[in-house]
Amino acid sequence: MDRSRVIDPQKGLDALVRELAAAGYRVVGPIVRDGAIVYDDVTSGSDLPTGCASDQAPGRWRLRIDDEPTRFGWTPGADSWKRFLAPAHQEVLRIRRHDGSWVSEAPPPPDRPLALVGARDCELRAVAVLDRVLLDADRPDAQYAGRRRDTFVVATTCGVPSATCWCTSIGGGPQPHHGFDLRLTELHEGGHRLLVESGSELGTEVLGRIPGRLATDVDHVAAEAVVARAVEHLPPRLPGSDLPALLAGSASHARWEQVAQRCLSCGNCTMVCPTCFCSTFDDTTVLTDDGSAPVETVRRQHWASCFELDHSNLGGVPVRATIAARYRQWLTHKLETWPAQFEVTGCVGCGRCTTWCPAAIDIVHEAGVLIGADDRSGAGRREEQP
Amino acid sequence: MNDTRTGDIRQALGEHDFFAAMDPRHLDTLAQMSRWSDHAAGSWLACAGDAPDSFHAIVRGRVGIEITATGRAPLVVATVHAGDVVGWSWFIGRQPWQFDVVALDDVRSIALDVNGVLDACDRSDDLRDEITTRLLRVVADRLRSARLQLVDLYGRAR
Amino acid sequence: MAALVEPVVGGIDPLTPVPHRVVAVDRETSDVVTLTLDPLSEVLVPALPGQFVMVWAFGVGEIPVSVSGVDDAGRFALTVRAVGPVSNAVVAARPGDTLGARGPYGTAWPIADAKDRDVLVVAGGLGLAPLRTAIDELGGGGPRRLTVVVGAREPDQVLFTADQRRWRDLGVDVQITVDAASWRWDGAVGTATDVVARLGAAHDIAFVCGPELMMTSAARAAIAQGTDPANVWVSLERNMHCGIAHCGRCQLGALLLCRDGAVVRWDRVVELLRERGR
Repeated sequence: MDRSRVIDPQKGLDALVRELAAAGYRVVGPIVRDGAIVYDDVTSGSDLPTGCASDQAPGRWRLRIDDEPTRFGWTPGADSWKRFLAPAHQEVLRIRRHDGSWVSEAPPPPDRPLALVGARDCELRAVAVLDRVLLDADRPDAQYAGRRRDTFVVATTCGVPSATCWCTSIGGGPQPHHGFDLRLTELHEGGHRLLVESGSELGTEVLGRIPGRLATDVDHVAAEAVVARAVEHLPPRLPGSDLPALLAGSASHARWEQVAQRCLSCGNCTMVCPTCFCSTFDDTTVLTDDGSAPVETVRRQHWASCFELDHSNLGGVPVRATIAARYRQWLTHKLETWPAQFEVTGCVGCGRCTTWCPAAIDIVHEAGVLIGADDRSGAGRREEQP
Repeated sequence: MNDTRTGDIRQALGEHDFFAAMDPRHLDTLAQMSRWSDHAAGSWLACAGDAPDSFHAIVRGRVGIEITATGRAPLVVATVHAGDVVGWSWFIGRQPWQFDVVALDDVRSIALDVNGVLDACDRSDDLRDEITTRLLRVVADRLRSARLQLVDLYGRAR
Repeated sequence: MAALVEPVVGGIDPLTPVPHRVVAVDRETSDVVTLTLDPLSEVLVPALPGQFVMVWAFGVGEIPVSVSGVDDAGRFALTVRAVGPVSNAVVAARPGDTLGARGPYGTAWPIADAKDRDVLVVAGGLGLAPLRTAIDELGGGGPRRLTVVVGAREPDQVLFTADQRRWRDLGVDVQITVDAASWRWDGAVGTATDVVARLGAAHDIAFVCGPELMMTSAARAAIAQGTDPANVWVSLERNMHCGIAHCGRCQLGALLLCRDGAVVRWDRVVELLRERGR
């Protein structure tokens, strides 16, 4: 069977979404809602954005719509696949009083596996990070395992990186090489079309059911040009793999206090981060009518942030009481300590934390200051803008 | 048991931690103003406000530094053990004893005559330096402990 | 796909509190009790000395508690001080009540490294609880010499006095110090650090557990006495919430203390502890 084909950007995508739904997947992909690109259930290829681009800068994300038929000319918004694999709120356990003790049950796994359509390399690396944290643990996260099982991934080559992207500095690039079943590359030169390449047997099978033609050398050369042009927009900004060593002595750097003057400790960066996994568990209990005894407890998990004051509670008192301490925790966890914890880097260079920071704090610029590097891209210089 | 009156006090001084590695000539000097001192458990070595006549290098047993306030049970806030000394206020302008010092066991100490030691220090800057440094170490240890005790470490959950 | 690892679905959710019957309640001090728990269904893996469990009071919540005793039948002991809503509920438990527990979690005291060596154990306050099973194991004749220094606020706050008599009978040098006492108190008054500083002999290996300030002070004293910093072990606490390294809340630098602790080597944390707000 063919491992790479060329499909029509409208009819081909329609067929792909239809095939995945027919194969029993819950198909999730990008849509335009409330002036932004978000991820949600899609039922047709036409649900996916057309003619959309996004302007990004520290503290800024704007949707731009033009008359072009482009399908993947945007870069992601605040949403990431984390919301589907490790939801912001979820029930994890229900415990009912029973015969002087209790019985407990966990919610059943989802009835359908997920198909993620339009995932960038940064996002796939983010999923790999979550897998590392939540599945490769001594005790895997049962909820995550259920949602993650048999995920079908339709990746896309990132042809138009945004101004806050810096994936090439931290182990990534515009084109995914692992972790997908199908990879789309949108081509414009020589006719608007999508090159689809298979990354798994299952992907090849699905690809065989999509109308299209065999890919030629011309298509592959055009795809390479897309990648090369994207890389030109991604100048090296930080020595990614050296960051843990370079940041190791930074704990008492004066910069933490300086950035704390701007940081609102709002936690936006951690919420939009596709790898931030911190969470908290809350028990909600129903009591007997007279209030004397518990009847049922529901344990819910929700996203937590290291910027929350109670995140570091110890005996009722926060260990990280200052914004400087909390910002240091955030940045050093992402860029310094993560590999020691999970043998992968915690940051994928997607730029969301910078884009969605209301104070326009650029993590790359801050890290550059901390390690004494010259941030040549100039992106950090926008930090003083409102 | 050794006779407490006849033990070699010069030798005992040399073996005591407080005087460890001190110049033998200084030890000879100090031995001349030292005497054995024995205290039955429950007796006082000194009471707050007493004029400073001697300080004690503890050789055996524990003494308690005790605070007594009307209406409150006497409270031992530190114990001083063999190898340590009790009493240092005398060294700063011959101040009187600040706290009660009670023998918690049958205690044997070497009592050093305060006036004799201060006179000897006047004659020898080197001896004064030695005594100052050693007493400062005692004060620093007591201060560290007092500060740690002040925060009620153990009161909170571990 | 594309699954980077093969997910496992099914089995008992790692967050499920396993029901245990409270079979004994021993009052240690005015606000500390030791509960003995007996499994009602699933039997947890016996905790190694220094490990902790998450204890759940139905309708109240969950807290991390060090295991202070284990037996062969799956029973274990927890020594708890009443400080917050959950610990108050746990301390108020009566024989026959049911509590949840999951675990055990975390690292253990390196007992095997203590064989044929001079071992110093320093415990402050409730810090004696996670060391109790360690001393029981060591007291059986493993180390060449075993010195146990116990610090407490007042004489009536000293934990496990019966155990201490037993340890003494086994030849363990047990030294107790309190912050203040009447003259009837036959131990020392002062800090655990003072006692360590008075030992006058280096120990090959030291296990230190208690409030962080007490541990840093006592660890430094042990090192000043000649113990190699790489052989000093402390038990650290942060916001242990899930116990299984998923929730990210117990981080101390690169350590996830529920997984990489609570027992850690001093030389690996000394700088972190010096950095304010870590």
